[in-house]
Amino acid sequence: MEIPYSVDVRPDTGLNNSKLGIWLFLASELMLFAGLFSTYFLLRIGSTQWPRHALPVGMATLNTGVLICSSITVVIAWSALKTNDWSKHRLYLSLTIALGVVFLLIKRAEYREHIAANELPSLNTFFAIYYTLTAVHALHIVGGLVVMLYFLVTGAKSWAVNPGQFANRIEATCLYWHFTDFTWILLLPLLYLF
Amino acid sequence: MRRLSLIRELPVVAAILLVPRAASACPVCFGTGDAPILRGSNAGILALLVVTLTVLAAFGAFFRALAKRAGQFTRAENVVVDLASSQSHRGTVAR
Repeated sequence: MEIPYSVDVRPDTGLNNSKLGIWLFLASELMLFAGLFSTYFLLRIGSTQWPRHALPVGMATLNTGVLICSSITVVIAWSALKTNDWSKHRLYLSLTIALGVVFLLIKRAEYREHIAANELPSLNTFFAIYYTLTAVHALHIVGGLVVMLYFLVTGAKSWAVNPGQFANRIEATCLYWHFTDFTWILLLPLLYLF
Repeated sequence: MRRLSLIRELPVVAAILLVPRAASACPVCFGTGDAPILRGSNAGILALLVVTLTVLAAFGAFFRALAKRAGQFTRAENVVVDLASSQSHRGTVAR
């Protein structure tokens, strides 16, 4: 059985189902992060003391660069599908996965530094919200990596059976990946810079 | 009828009058006007409101776009129906 409008644009919404679905999912994700950011503001403005520059800005800046590069590579991977260039798609999807892994490794190094200095979530509300926000974000990166890895492994078959549907799936993944990038760009100034 | 509505409203009025004032005090600030926790709560609520209202506005804009599209479809459908009926009418007259 074929699912209608999985490739074609629906005449009523002007979108295909996968794009509408991912936008709705991203709206719910936005609400999740809004709750966490709201907690951050409550804790920060509500506290009498707040540590400044307690986190390694260099590592965070490097991670920002890595995520921005991964956002570019995932778009190239999607556009390669539109030009029927399968090998280019695989190359850039692999690059995106590699950059995502690099991001997580840098984050791991950052956590290790803090744990070694005994800066645990129980130390103060700053570290509690820092670990919560960055860990939830890192979990989203892991989720994106799992999806991309799945497409890298099983993509050839899907592409052969229904190229339009596969391209739409990669486009939805692209949107999700941009969302994680956007969230990180919000986290960077709030936690590391100011 | 009037008596019935008074009887209905009485428990509500009684509840409002009988609830102690202390129960309606803010459990966060306990009456302190400019405490940091109060300013923090306000900032947190504001941040959440901004995002929620933005998401709601996006949904509203989407539904508005859907309604607009639906209107266009209905108008186009009506034109087709009118054309079809006028053609069939012409055919009947010619016969």
